[in-house]
Amino acid sequence: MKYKNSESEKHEISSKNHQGSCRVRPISSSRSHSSYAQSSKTPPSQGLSHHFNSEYNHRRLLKSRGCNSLDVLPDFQFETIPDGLGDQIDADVTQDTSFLCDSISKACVVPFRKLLAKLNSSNVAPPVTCIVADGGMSFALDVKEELQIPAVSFWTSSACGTLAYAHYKHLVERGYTPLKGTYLINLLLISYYHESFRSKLFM
Amino acid sequence: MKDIRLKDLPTFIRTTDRNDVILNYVIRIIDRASKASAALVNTFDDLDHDVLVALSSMFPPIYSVGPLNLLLDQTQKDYLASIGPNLWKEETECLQWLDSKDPNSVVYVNFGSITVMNPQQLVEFSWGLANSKKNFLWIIRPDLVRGDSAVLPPEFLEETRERGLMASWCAQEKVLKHSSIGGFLSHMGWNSTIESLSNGVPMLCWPFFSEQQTNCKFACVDWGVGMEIESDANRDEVEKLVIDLMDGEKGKEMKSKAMEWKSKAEATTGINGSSFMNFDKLVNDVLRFQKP
Repeated sequence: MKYKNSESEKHEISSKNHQGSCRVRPISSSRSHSSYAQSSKTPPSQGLSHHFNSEYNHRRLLKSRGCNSLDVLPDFQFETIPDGLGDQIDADVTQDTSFLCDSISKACVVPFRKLLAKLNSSNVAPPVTCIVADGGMSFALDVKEELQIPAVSFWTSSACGTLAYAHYKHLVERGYTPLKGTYLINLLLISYYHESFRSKLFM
Repeated sequence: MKDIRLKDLPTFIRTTDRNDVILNYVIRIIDRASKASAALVNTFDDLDHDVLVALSSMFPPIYSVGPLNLLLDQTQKDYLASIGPNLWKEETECLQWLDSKDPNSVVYVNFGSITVMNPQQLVEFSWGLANSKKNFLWIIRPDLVRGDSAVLPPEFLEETRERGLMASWCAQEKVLKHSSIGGFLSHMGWNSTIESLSNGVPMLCWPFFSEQQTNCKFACVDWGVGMEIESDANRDEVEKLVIDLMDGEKGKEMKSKAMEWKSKAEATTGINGSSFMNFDKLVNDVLRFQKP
């Protein structure tokens, strides 16, 4: 595939296969949106793409780029779902990560499911054939199973950070975390000062 | 993970509460990761080979497609420019200011979209930068300082008027590409880290939270493009490290290493590079799946 000549291919694919895709954008920080925006714009992203964002961050996006900035994109249709944190129309700050993590897990799956049902029964838009969701928005994987379509998790954290997160479960199982009182401080000091100890601590 | 220390692990384990929301959230999403059809990561094989191999035993098929900032250069759709990469309004005059500076002469300072610091840390960073006598572009968000608006000492503003520019946000991908940028004082968020490395810009690392500590360790130890600033660094330490970064032997070594990574990053996102091909495979093998 030649990416730079993809314009004609895009229309061909769009009309022949009648494909649509769905991307669930990250909803935490500003810079997480960066890699997501970049991946959306990379060449093979062809066909109609529905982008799901939290209502709050969608408003911030329009505020930063101009209220008509998303209207000129023929390949993209933006939709929003609530993030469960209530109305914050005037705020322009990065949301509290802890509240957001809790809220994502509880509040998003039902509105997301409803939105996909609405799109799939639409006479105008093609049905959703795949999902690209932020790795932190694992509720999208429930919907993948229900609709039996592929879903790709996009990990916007680093690979090394993601691997470290993958060890969290083992750290809990081995009793390293949660830590107790001063033990936390002592462990940090020991691991910092003793090369031989620290290299063995979390292999 | 080789030679990893407790302080290098993502900070959410620094809790004494088994019911901590984020600790449990992380464990839950990792547990569910294998249910996905594929995993997409913004890195490239040369940079993270061992880590990707380790992850592959726990994850669905992994497609490394980064650095996305360079992969994006393969497209030429101007109308897509309206999809912005961040949520803060960008100020554009800083690029003109950079045009007036010599190559590799400016320290770019940006602590990302979430980091907060206390007023004393702000003052120590400001005098560290001022005393280094280097040019700097410093992005100061309105909510950078905890519980207060960011107020810089008037003497600092007077001292650095000719060589410092403060802005509330900027188009980072353009700033890091600019020839005047010689180093990046960063919070080590992943996008900042990979954008800096793939543009050949060495870093001073002041990780704030989450996996930024892990990124810092890899940048300093594994990739050779970073030096860490301790979280409670005073102005003298900031000054010394800024000078080391811009003029010192260590800075030269890091610059050389960063330029190597830049070259590899360009190759992997170019035609027939691994990230370029992986993105193609992801679209054709996974996203265009048709129900039988």
